[in-house]
Amino acid sequence: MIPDLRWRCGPVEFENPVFTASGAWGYGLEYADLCDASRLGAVVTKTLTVEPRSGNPQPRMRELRHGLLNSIGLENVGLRAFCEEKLPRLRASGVRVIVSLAGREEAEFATMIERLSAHEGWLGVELNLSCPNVAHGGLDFGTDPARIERITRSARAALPEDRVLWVKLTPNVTSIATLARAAEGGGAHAIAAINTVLGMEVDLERAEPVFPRAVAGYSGPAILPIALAKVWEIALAVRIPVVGIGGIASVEDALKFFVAGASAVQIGTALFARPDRGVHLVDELADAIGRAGRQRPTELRSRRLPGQDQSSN
Amino acid sequence: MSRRLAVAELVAREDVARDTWIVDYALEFDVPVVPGQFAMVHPGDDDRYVLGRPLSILDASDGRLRFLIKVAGRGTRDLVQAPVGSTARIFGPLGRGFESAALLGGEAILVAGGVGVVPLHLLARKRLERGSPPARALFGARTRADLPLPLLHGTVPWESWVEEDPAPGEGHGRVTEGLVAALRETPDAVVATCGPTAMMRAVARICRERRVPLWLCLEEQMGCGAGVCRACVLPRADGAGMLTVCHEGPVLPLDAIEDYAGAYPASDGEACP
Repeated sequence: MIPDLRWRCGPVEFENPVFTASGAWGYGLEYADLCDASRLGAVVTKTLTVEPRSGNPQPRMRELRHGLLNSIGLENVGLRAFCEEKLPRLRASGVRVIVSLAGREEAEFATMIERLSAHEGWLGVELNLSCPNVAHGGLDFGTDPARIERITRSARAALPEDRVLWVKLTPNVTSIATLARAAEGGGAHAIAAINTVLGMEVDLERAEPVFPRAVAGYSGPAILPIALAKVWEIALAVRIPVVGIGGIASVEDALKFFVAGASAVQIGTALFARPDRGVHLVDELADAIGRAGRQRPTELRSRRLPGQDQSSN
Repeated sequence: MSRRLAVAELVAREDVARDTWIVDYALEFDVPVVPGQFAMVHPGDDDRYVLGRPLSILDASDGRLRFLIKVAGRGTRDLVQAPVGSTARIFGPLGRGFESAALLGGEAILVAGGVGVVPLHLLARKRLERGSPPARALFGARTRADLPLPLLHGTVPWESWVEEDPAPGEGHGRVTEGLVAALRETPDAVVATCGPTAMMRAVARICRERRVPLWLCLEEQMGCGAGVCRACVLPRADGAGMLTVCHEGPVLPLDAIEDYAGAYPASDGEACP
């Protein structure tokens, strides 16, 4: 059987279900000399805000034994510079783009989508309702189901009909399923999960937390089992697809997410050490699905999970 | 950009100072390297480590990439203890090195501490290859055991400054004392420095006070080495946001970085080797 990696999500059909996660691969242009980003399902950009942000003070990153703590603080060039400087180049190089957005207030998401809509070269947006490293518009937005539903609804209303809407959720809550249902109720085409897990590192010499904000976002291999459990929980709760994120470094890791209920995957932290890992994962996934005697990755979905909307396989 | 991703075989390693090794990897291709450029070296070719280690390139020629590695944690320990014949993943060369014509040609003073000797050693060698006058090359260490003697007694005439137990012919004290003396002799020289942050800040204060042009080869915690993860940023002097040490650096002129020299107490020479 010839593997068919195409994945339809809402109004958009992606060539394959392998994406680079927000924050891990810049704006999709930075590694053009090393690999062909147009082979990815899409690049999910670094999260953009209305105004440029310079992010958090040092230190911003610590490598731990099995994962990575970061406290970057949404440093980004701002939506205008992205649209004017990055999007045209992405479009020219054939890279498919999902734009990650964060707002400081609820109404800002729809405003950003309206501004983005004046430009071509993007397939959809991922609402980052889950950054642990900012004071406003991060976790305070992403933990309240009513807010998530309102933001999602206003974003969907602002979004052109041929574009896709993902909502990225935090695992740092009692019930991620409740948040996923809120996003589904607001009209999201898919849930992206998970963002980083809240973590902390301590400097024993100073007897203080390493990071100025004390807590930071934990990612990498250590969070893979946490992410699988959250994806499973979401897949049990909603009918829309789940984009699985968290600690994926190998094709086996990716396959586990499809079994746990994901219809697509994002690779993040592993890209820092191996920037071409995402592009290679596309081929490895096709090989692995073929070897497993399947046609589509979603056929791996556990039989203990309910089915999905047929419109978004 | 000529950076590459490669799995490279460790072909030689030599213990050259306390916890400090020269390690050679074989590459199937030659890459042009500017002194100051670095590579992300990932211990082993598996995923035992989340990140690579940023290592300044000591030499790149004849299909070999050479590093001087000081053990700073378990990753660097694994790198220097790996057996000959084992492999590491290498991503490089990365960043911007010493490109200034003033540094490559005219009178220059190089101030190094610890593994900061690496980019300056390569710079001094490039100058010799170009027929430039030899740079004054000053190396500072706490003790004799910290001197990478095979480097210091090679083609580049390094002058060593040792704080605790100098041998005859070595300066006794901090390398910054050597810089002050050298600047008295050649006040029109430009300066390049690489080493511990406290030392570089002391060098920066000395150069700023004397209005001497200074280039710093900076070290920061890095994630990707390519300007993407935004971990290794510093505030720009012009106020226009942050610059990345890995991509816009690691070599930067002092006036590009906001208040680098002023970030520590005045030039009393505290805490610099």
